[in-house]
Amino acid sequence: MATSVASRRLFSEYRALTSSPPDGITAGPISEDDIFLWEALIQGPDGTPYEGGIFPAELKFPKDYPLAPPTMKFLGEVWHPNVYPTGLVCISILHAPGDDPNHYEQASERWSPIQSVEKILISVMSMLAEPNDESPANVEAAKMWRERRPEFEKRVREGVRRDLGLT
Amino acid sequence: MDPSFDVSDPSDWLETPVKELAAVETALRCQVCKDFFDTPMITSCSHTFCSLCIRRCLTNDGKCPACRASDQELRLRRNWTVEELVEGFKRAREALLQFNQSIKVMEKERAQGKNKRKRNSASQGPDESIPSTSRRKTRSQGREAPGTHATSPNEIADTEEDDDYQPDDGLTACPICEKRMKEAEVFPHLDIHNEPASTPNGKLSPIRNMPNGLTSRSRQPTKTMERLPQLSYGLLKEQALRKKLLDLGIPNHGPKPLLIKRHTEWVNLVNANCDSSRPRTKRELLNELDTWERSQGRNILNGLGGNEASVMRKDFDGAAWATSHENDFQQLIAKARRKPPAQKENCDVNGVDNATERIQSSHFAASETSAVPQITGVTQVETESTLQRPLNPANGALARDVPSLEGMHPAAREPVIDLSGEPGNRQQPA
Repeated sequence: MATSVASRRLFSEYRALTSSPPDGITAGPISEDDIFLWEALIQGPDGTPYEGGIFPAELKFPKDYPLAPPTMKFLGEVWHPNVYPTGLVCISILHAPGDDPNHYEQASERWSPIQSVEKILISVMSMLAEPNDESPANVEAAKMWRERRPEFEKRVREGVRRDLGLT
Repeated sequence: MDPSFDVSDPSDWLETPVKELAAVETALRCQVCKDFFDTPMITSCSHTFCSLCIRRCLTNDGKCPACRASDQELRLRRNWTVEELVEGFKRAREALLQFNQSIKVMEKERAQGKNKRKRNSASQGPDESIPSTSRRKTRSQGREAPGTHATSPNEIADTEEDDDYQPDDGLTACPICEKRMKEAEVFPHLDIHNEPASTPNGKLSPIRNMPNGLTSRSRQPTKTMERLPQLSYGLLKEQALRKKLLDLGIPNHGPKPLLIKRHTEWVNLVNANCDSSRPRTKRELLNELDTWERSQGRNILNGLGGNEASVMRKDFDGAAWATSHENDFQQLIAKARRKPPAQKENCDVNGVDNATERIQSSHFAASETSAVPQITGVTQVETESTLQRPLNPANGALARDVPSLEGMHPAAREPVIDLSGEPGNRQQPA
C-alpha cells in the first residue's frame, strides 16, 4: 500500500466521473503528478443568466480527504452571491461540520465523507441557479441580486459573454 | 495516470448487457473509500462501512458519515453477511464481467450473421440479452468451452446450477489443467487437483468458495494483536504520551498534536485489524502507519502554523523573520538584562551571560519538545548542552522556534517546572 487512502479514493472518483459523467460537468486531476489538484468545468444551468457559460474551477483536496472537504475556486470571474470575489466558492457542502463561517448552515447539508466530487459539482451547479443570499460571500452581488435583479442578470450575462470571448 | 493504479468501479457494468449489476456493486462498496467493503461493520444507525473507514470517521467527528447520528466505536458490530456477499461478488466479478462482454461480442456477431451456432430463430438478439440469468451463463459457457473464455467463466459456475445441467454437446475443459472431458466429470476431476494442493485459498474450487469457508477461516486461531483503548489525550502530558507511543512500538517524535493524531491512527489500524477475518502482522500495520505519516502526518505539522515543520523550509528568510519579530527579541533581551542585577553579586562578571543563557535554555527546551525528534525526556545533560548554543535572532533555527512559544503549553514554556514534574510522568503505566 504505497498509495494513501485519499489518493486511492480520488482515483476511484475520477474513474467514475470519466465513465459516467453527470450532465454539464467535467472534472479530473490537472496533472498526473498531483492527484490532489483537480480542474472542473461546469456548464451554466439552462434558464439562468449563467446559461451558455462554461466555468472553469479548481478543486484542492486535503491529504486527509475524504474526512475533510476540498476547497473550490472559480478560475474566471463569477458574479454570484455565494462566490467570493477571489473565486472561492462558499457552499455548505464544502464546509466541514463545526466549521461554519456564517453560522447559518444545517449540519445535515455539510460535508461528510460520503459526499463526493460529483455531488459537490452538482451542488455548485444548483447554487448557480439558486443563490443563497442568507450567507453572502460577495455582499455586493447579493445586494444586487436581492434588490436589482435585472441589473444582476445583465451583469452575469455580460460576464459569460466576456469569458466566451464574444464581446 | 499511473497504469499500475488500476481501480475497478461499478461503472464497468454500464458497458455490459446487465447494467443493473452496477447498482449491486455500488451497494457492496463502502461509501467512504469507494472500495469494496473491507471488514464491514454496522453502526448503531444501521449503516455499513469498512472497519477502518468508520473508525477514522468516528475518531474525527464522532458521527456516522451517512446520517450524522452520533455513534461510538464500541457500538460497531461486524456485518458478516455483507462480508460474505463482498467476498462472493469479488470472486465472481472478473469472470462475470468477461462473460458479459463475451455475450456482447456474440450478439454483435449474430447481428452480422456470422454466428455459426445452430440456435433457432432469427430474433435472438434481444431475447438473449435480457434474461442472462446465471443458468444461461453456465449453459452457453459449456458450449463456449473451446473458445477463449474456456477457463475463466468456470470460476463462477455454481454447484447447484451445475447439478441439473445436461450437457448437450461436446466436451469441456478442466479449469485447472485444461484437460478436456465430459462436463459431468469436471467436478469429480477437480477433487484430484484439490487433494494434494489443499491451499487455504483455492480460488478455483467451488467447494471452498462456500460462505462457510469464510467463517471457518475467521475462527482459525490466529495470533492477533490486542485491541487498544482510546486515550483521553487532554489528561496526558506530552512526555507521558511519548512514553506510551514508545511502549506501543510506534514512532514517538514530533509535537503533541502529531503524537495524538499518530496514536489515534494506530489505535484505528490495530482495532480494525482485530475486526478483520484476515488480520495482518504488526509489521504490515507499521508500514501502513508509515504511509499515513508520509501522506498526512507531515500535513498536520504544517497545519500547526506555517514554519513549524520539523525541517525548516529551504527558502526560509531568517533576516526577514528577525526583522518582523524584532520586538519579541528585544523584549526577551530586555527581560534577560533586567534580572541579572539581583544575582550580579553572586555571579560576578558572567552574570549577564548566565541570564541570557537562561533565556536561551528556555527557548531550546521548548524547541526540543516541539520540533526535535526522538526526545523522550529532556534530561539535565541535554538542557545544559543547549546552553552552549548562541542566541542569534537572525539565525533561522532559533527564529523559527520563537512563535512556537506562544501556542505552547505552559509546562513546556517553563522547562524547569517540566523537568521537576517529569519523574511523576514517567511512572505512568503504559
